[in-house]
Amino acid sequence: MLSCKDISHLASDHIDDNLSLLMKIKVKFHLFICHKCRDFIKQFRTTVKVIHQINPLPADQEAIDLQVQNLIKAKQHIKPDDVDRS
Amino acid sequence: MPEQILIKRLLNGDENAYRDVVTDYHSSMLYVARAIVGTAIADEVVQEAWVSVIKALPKFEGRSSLKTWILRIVSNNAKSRLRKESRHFSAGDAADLEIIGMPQERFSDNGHWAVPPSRWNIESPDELLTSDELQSCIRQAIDKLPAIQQTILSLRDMDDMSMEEICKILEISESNSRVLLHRARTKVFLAIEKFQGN
Ligand SMILES: [Zn+2]
Repeated sequence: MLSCKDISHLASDHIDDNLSLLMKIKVKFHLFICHKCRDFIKQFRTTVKVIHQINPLPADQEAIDLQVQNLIKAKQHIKPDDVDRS
Repeated sequence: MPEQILIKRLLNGDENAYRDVVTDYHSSMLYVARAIVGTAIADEVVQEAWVSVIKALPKFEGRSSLKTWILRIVSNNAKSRLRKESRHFSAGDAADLEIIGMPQERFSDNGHWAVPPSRWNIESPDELLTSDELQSCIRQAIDKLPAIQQTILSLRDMDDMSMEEICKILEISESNSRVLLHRARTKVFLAIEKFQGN
């Protein structure tokens, strides 16, 4: 039988649905009898959702402008015969 | 906008299209570069990679998404940079000494919880994110992650890329990258748990 520690190691594979059928059954059985691990998995799932939703830091506009200008310059210097050798 | 149209505009040297892709992809490119060459020269590697992208774009065949293709160019450029400096890339061994998930001391010898996770007062992701304090606490936890974990976490959980794509970009094994992802998520979990406890 899986221990609580095993469950903590398998949490990501469990919530990403990346376990073999046998492991899936073993995990489900453990969660059925262990409320601490049920809480853990629920909160772990919340953690992943939070990471997913966290706003990316606003991009550095100056860096973007600079990069775009560099690209335009670079584009002007690319000769057609450069293309196949890149 | 469909990717083909975007690509056509990029091939024509359309400034707005450049702006769109730089805005959308630049930070992911930096993450990939940092994971391979380190923070100090990541910016430089990304700048070079952009030029490679523009040069190679006429050859893009659309077998992967444009983003995956661009990130692979970053990865290749970063690795050849390492070779030039006689360094080589290692994603770390998944079996190294760092714990896989929750800290050892949270469990008793028989593997049961010794210190079970505390019940969080706030349970929904939306509610959790209303706290600016918690947001900055999560960002700090992510910033403190080793570069490779930060990269995998951001590509997988923020950019929604598949593990398969991520492994192709970084050229690491799926089992290794899944362990690294789990470690990263666990550290964010512990940061939220600690915040809720205060
Ligand atoms: Zn348990």
